[in-house]
Amino acid sequence: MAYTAEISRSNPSCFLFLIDQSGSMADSFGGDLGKSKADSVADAINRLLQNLVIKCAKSEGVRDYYYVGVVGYGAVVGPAFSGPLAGQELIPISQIANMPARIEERTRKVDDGAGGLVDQRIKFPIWFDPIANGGTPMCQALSIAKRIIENWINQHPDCFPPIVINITDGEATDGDPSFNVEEIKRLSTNDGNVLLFNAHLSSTRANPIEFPDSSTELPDQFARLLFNMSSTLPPYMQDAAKLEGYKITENSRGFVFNADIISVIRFLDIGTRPSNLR
Amino acid sequence: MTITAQITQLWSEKFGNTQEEYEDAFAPQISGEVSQDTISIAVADGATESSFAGEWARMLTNAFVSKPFLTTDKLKTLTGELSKEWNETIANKELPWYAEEKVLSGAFSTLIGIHLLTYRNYGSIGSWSAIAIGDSCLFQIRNDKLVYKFPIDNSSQFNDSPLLLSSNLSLNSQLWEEVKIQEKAFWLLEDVFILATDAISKWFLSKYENGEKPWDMLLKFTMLEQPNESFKEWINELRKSSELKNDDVTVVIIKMKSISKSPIQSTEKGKS
Repeated sequence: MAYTAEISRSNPSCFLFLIDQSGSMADSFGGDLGKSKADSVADAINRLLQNLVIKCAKSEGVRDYYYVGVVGYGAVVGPAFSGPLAGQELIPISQIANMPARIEERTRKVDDGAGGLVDQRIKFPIWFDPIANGGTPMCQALSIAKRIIENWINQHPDCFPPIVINITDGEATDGDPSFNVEEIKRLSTNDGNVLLFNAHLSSTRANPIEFPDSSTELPDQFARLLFNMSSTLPPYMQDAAKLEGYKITENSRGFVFNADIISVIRFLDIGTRPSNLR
Repeated sequence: MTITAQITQLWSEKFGNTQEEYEDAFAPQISGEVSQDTISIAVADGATESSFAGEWARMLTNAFVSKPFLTTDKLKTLTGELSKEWNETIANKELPWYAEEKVLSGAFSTLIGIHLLTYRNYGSIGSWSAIAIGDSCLFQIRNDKLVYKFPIDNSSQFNDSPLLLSSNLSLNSQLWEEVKIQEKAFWLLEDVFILATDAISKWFLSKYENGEKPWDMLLKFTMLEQPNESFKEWINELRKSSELKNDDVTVVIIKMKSISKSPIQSTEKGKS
């Protein structure tokens, strides 16, 4: 059965994030004039990495259940980490944990256990700052992604299939990305095909949509294109998503529109996850 | 009245992990024949996705055997005290950002605890009570038959997201209604109790649903002088054949041997 390989330090899996850093990302996000799509992308990738690190963190440190890469596409296309991780394509998650560009202090409201809310100071690691420059060479980024994933699969033929998450406003300037996407989705390990999910950040003021099973409710052509390019959620992710209260059918896809894709990290199975841990 | 029972503890860390990474817990850490007025045994399973979960699981099992809590109110009070203790243990450590974040979420664990007593002055009947949080299980065997399953009845009821007891008190609000308590059931001489964490409990129930007697295999280990190495080998074979999920595994077997009126000095044979 596909998508059942255990994810462990001896049989790690791989995450590849593709982030749109093109000039159009300077436009406002979801009709909110105070926030650009580039801000939203930086926020999304920082939080995805943060959540993935925390998922793999144990008392003694971070366990290398995943190797992670980030490919940026805009004026430049290629590995997007800066600092000591610059230029590297896939990095063990423990190195990412220990090498953010900087760590900020933020405050968040948390339940005080007695019906109220209290402020809690937390450390917030930053790996990426907003960038919006140049065209949207998504096809080129997907072609780099294919090469990185192919290499990974050659070295890890039995691993849980790699997951590629593309965060974009969907407006590729170097052609139709569908062909490149299909090539990536055809790659497989002995445990199933590579999964490719899309997070669409749009300037359109429209309600967020998470893991839809058809494109009929989607507001524009770019959203429909990205939906069509997204893998169907495998059964184990469907089950995890249902447990979290998402409306999921067997045709639900790994696609979100103007919404948070971080829940995908929670759907990953590396062991017991208490249902009261959010 | 004194109860004599033979206790066998079996455990295995997840394949690929080190022994130090084993995050189940059991208490007391006594193997062999035990004679006491009452006997309390607990097993807990610290959740993989939380940090310092092994410590939390150990605290819960130790607390149960030193003062068995068999009501939700007592559990609430005790969780408050233990949470404070857990936080104090962690507070002095210098932690990187991700470990700090993980500590704020708290540690999570299951718990299954059984408290065995004599019953009035009957020499061959005792009573027992138990508490269960999450998917660690208790099975009672009598005359080669499974006579009681607690708190899970069916192998299909296991999933990877149980509601667990957290050291972060704000995350326990939904939990209290889910705590399962068994009050004053009976045991007879020669009864066997098995306390087990989820992976092996699921295997146990699947075999039982298939018409097999999974306790036969577990009871074989009680005949061995040093059972744990053989147990680990057997567990790894089950994992290889995909009969058992790769997870920490813990089993505690309690064989009820005798009840005597005259006090017998507590005996311990070997430590696990």
